[in-house]
Amino acid sequence: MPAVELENVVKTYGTQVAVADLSLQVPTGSVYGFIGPNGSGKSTTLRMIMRIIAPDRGHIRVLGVETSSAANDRIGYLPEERGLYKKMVVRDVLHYHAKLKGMHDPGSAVEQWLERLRIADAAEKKVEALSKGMAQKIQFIATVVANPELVILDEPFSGLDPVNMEVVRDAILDLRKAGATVIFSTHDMNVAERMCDFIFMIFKGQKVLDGSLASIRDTYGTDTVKLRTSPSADVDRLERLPGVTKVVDFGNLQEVRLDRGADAQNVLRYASTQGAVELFEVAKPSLNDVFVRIAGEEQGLAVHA
Amino acid sequence: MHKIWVIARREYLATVRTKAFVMGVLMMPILLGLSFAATFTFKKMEDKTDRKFAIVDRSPGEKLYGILQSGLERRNAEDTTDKRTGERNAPTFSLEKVAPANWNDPKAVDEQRMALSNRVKRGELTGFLEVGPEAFNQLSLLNKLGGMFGSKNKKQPEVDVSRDPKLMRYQTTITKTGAQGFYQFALTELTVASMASFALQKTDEKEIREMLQKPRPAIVMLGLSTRNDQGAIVDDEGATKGLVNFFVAYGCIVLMYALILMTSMPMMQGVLEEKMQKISEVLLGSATPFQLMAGKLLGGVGTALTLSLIYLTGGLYALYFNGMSDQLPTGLVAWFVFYLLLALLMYGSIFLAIGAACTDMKEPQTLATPVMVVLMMPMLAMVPILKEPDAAFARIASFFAPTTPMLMIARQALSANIQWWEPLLGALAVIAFAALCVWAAGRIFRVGLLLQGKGAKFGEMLSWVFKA
Repeated sequence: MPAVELENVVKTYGTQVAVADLSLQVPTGSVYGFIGPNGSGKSTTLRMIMRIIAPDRGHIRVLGVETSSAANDRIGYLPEERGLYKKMVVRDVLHYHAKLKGMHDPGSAVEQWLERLRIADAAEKKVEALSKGMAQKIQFIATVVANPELVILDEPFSGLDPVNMEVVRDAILDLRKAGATVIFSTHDMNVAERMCDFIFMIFKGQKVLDGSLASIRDTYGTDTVKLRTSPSADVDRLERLPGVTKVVDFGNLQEVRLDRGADAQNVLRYASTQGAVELFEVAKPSLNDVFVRIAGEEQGLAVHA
Repeated sequence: MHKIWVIARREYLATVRTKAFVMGVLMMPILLGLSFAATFTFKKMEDKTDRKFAIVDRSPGEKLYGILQSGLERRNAEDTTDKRTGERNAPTFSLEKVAPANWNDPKAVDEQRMALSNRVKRGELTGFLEVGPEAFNQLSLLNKLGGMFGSKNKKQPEVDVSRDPKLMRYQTTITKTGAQGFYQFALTELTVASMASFALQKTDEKEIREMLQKPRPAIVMLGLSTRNDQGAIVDDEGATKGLVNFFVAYGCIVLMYALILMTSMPMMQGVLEEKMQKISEVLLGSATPFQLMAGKLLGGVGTALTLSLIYLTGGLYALYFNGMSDQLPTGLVAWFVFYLLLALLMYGSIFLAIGAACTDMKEPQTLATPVMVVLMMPMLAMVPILKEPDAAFARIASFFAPTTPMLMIARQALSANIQWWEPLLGALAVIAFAALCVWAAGRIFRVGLLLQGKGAKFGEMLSWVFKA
């Protein structure tokens, strides 16, 4: 049984279609990443799964149940915009949220999570005295302290420095190990690529990607060449080579996208005429590349750096 | 229920631990005092028609009548008009001398009191003063406060207020305009006169100084005479309690109004802040909108009960300290708490719904205004209702559910004629209306809490009630 199942879900705001005929299944025990540009419908979809907003049409089953109530002790939800009582002391806030999730004695669980996220020192501080990153970690603890079966995290890494990002990332992966299903949205393709068993991309309310990372990358084939030469290759001439459709210039590195069936050796031959070839790698596109291809090109974004 | 309790506990602690709450607790008595002063000023300004009092003077040579008459002439000439504008600012007092019934014939004395009481009831007199045959020679046994209320203060010796020849009795109904003014006037005039008389007889300065330290002449303020169940003429017990009852009724209205405001407004602002800070969205993942609203209401009720406990304990202690604890019907306190709870459910749920339907801090001002007007109605209608608690206006207003809690309790405190079924019927009306408010507010709350962008209008809120 999937942890979450959406069937032909539609949500509109006036004439604006936020989510159009969306169907997806989140396997139980997986880490499922929602990606998509701003305003594409990620948060709306997550909020519909939470039943905070109701779909206009379609069916949503969460943990096997189709209900109209948002309140569910089996689900932990971290919204995009953080909501904590500013005047409350951190420990009290966490006890409050744990009790609201049905825990009768959350003391030890709260202390363990505070230690785990390296924020025990802030336990007696008021929320308003915390930095953005610290408040983010507290909100995360409030979401997971009651051991939910399904964890829904809307942008869980925003506001976190790399060290804290790692701490939270490890905590999320441990939740999966403990049997929880985790759905999270992110703009960070590297995070999604590394953490997610499945990735779902929504763009302008439509599902454009849904599957494992490998299957997504397979869809695009081995069509990318990473190239570093000294001196740097002439991008204009690279683009004019037969079979080359796009060149992304990162300065010291160029990413060359090829037509399906085009010969990558043409690129190597050209590169060797330019000077010493330091790197030549034929690869599948990264998630970031896939994201930019779908979102960036349709929005008319410049792909050249 | 566990979640409602968890939410209520947080709401309660979050409120009572704030500085604003402590300030509110301290401000309340000040507010009460100010509004009491304002009401009396208003009452004084309201009625400036001339007042007539009868005097039954048994003092030798009708000396007291003479003192008061000359005092009144001076007062009417000097103290009833504004010296700058020449406008009348207080009623004039006039005295009617009534020949005393035979003091040794108690029946005749009672009959005379009854006849004069009837004249007060008919509006021919505002009150009447009866001077005992030995009153003027006495520096009375009673102190001023004890005399006013006729209470059984332990500090005073027991006296028979009906037959004691040393006493002066002033009979009136407390709610009559000018009744107290004459009482104060007579007291002052007689005090000055007795001191002057004493001073004239004594030449030793030390003796005069000692005399000034002693209690002053007192006038016992009593209700009108009435016939009891056995047909005997007695002082109206209910009326002697008039002033205390007046204070209690007044205090009930103002206290309940303040408690509703002090708890409902923060609840409204709290919901709105939670909504704006997206706390509601997190909470809705854990509790249903109904649990959220119920928890907040319960927290508000807890806050109001805490405040009530503080003020009622203070009020009861003040009555006990002044030897007047027997003046307060204990049932009234229970009714007060009962009505307060219902009022909080009514107004608290409405204010919570308004908070949920708004999206910024300015919007509640518009949406809450009509509710505030209804809430203030008892304050605005207080003067006529306190004056005539059994008049048609007071009766009708006390059965209008949104104002019932404040007005019915005031009528219960004031009126001896209130029927047993009236508070019960009022309570039923309020229970029904409070249930309706909580139900409707719950529906508005559920939709409003997730409304973003522009705040709701009244029409939309109503549609949520019926469509939700």
